[in-house]
Amino acid sequence: MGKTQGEKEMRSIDRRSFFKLGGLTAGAAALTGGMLAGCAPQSQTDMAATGGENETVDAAVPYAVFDTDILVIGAGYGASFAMQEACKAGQNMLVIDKAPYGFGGAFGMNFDIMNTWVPGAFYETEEEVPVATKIRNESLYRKTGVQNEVELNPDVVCANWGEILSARNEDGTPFYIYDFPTTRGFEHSMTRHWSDHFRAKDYITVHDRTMITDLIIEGGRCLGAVGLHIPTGEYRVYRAKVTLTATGGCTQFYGWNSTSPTTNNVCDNTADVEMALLRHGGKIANAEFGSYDMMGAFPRSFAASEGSMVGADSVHSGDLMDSEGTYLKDYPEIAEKEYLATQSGVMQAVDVVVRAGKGSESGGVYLDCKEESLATMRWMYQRNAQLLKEKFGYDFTAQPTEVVPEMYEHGGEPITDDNAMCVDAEGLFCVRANAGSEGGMMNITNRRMGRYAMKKALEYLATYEEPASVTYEGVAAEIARLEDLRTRTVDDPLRPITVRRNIQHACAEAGRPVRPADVLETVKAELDRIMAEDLPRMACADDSLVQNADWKDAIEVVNLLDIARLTVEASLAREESRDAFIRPDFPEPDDANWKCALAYTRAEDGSLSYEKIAY
Amino acid sequence: MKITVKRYDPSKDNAPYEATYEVPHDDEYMTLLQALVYIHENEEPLAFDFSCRGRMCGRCAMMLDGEPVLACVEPLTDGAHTVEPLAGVPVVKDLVVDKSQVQARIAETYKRVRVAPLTEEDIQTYNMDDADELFGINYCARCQVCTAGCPARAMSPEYIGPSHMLAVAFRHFDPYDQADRIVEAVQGGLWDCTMCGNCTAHCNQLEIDHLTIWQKLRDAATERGFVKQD
Repeated sequence: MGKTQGEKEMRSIDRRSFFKLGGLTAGAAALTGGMLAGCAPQSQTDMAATGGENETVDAAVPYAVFDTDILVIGAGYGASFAMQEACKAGQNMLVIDKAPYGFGGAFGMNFDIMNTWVPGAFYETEEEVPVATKIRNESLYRKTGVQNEVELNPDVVCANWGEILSARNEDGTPFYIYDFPTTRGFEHSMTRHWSDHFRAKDYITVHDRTMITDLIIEGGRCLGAVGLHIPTGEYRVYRAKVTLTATGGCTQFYGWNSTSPTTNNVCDNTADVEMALLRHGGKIANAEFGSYDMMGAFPRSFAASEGSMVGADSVHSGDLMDSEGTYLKDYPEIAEKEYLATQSGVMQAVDVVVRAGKGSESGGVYLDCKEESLATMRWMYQRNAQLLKEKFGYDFTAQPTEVVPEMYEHGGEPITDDNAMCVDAEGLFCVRANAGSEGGMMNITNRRMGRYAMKKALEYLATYEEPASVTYEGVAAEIARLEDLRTRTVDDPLRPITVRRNIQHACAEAGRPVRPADVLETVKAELDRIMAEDLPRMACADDSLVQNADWKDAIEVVNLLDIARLTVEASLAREESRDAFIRPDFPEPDDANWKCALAYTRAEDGSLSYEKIAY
Repeated sequence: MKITVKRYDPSKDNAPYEATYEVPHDDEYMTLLQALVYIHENEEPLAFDFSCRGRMCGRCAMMLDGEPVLACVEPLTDGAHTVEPLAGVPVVKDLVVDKSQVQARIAETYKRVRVAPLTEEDIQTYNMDDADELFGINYCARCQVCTAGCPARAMSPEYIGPSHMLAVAFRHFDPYDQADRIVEAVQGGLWDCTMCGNCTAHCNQLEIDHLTIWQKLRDAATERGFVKQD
């Protein structure tokens, strides 16, 4: 298949020409979703007709410019609570989803989410808000919980977004899987209904299948973002007064099991926005923290998937056994320390077994998934067992299943002030922030931060002042970077997917909750090698603009490598154990030295360094 | 085994073409998704979409040997197979299709119609008569596998197809929806459906009992006098 001349000409960009051709001037009319400038002219004749100083036809990289008051990056769980606030205020916004809207992230899995909250909790003052049980910015945490009408009854909120609350008692009243004074929860939450609700709002314009690759940051202010429309390869430049990021945590560096890393999280979550901020000199913290469940690792095509696998939550941790058939609950050390009562404790218990040499090959244990156990598991597991039995003849009840620590959420988040605004970029509000040692966003934190970040963004917007000058130099540089990733040719090339797998295999052990120093040192050296040797060799085997799998891999690999390096280096730096973060050589929490965020910055040469930000 | 993939890059190719790859069948529980990942990793770049690996996001819907499937939960026997993009929707590239139009239309139907927001008191009561159907449809991935394999849809293009009809049924059974969904069902082609059961045979959500759902809609339509006029 020969390439046309025109296509070849589109491969490089001249920065000066870019500005001459485009609509990238300050003060463009605010029009949410409105397309201000189309593609740059592509033929030589068209170029001449622009009247600009276009000595090079090579500048013809197509791009579009959009202007919006509020740019929301990410369209899932946290973003929904943010969008709700803007809709209530009648405020237009432009929402970017990397996936087809409604089908991305955990949100788009439409899996059986269990929403939990404190029933009837409404706190008038910050002092009344219960303290965080994890290390995090306590002040911000309290602010997100005060006078929060959503947390009063999130079940009613979700019902108004299209949910039916299908779990019912025989008399038709809602069945709450947890119904205690301190916790109430309903399961079978299907968040795709929320996307039906929000996409019907006049205030929301969704650009989906669009990957944000860079933030536009000038003079310490965030002025929007640069994205790529994946099906067409169109570059999209988003100018925004306020940018609100609500993307999912990245777990994609953690091993590889034939179709997925050891995570139920999705392959689209590659920390694109956070790593863009890091490249701009911004700080990223808490990458050493993750959240884990013990999930099935066999059959391997289904390893760790929420929709096809069986696992042990804390209710079923009593069914976990070692390689010799002894239940974990019968280990004296595990019983004494009551490890099996919490999810992070289960990780400690598994560590006890693995250290005793009685774990599985992959650093896990076994789930004795007897029929009576399976019958009391959440329906999400029972239905998976049914499917695999019916379609594949695999019977979970016939033998114990190997279960491994599956990372379902991960930190690696910007540092914000008490207004949820990034301390490194004015105008950038962050939903995914302040998870602290929780290791990523849980449903309550996500609701609270989504609602709060947008409230503060709206306040900021109300007193917004245009910047004195705007150059958008970074936009051209970003498009040049992406064009280079798509079209570069090198001697002895490595395909992006190969580099991606190299990162994932390298981190298979270091991503587990238990992180011995020697493992971390070895992985750090391998990731440094990948940065020095593999990345320069990375080249796509396809230079198409259309749905280019290699190109998407290449863009994501750059981010994956940085988030993996942050994870490993921050894990080495943090010389303590806390929650599900376990350093065998430093087994206890150490508040005196480590009750803080390790906020990393990246130097031009890629080297990472951190400062402690006290919590 | 030999996997033949129908490939097409509209920016480069004059027409779709077939490429055959030798893929090791090295897993007792091999899935189609595994084979596609293998091709992309070891042979050449291949455009295909997937996310959850557990039949919930519905993004890996495609045709295997002429039948619509979800690649992530489709067992693959050792032998020769042909993989094509999902039938009935535009192709973006290789096995990636554009379902945005049909999914936007389905989303409109799923949007609940009410005169006033639900209150805490409202959600205390429920439609227990159709609770099983509601519970089941809630798991619909909207993947379009059922619609791609629907003979009635192939015969009557006006029929909205089973995936969309599930949305109509869901809001019909939903005790909190106040629109007339039976009119919508009949208008959407309820009587075009022949009750052949292909939808339920293709569906990976075992909770969804399509034929019972269609029969309940038919009964409600009949009661209203909205019967099929031949």
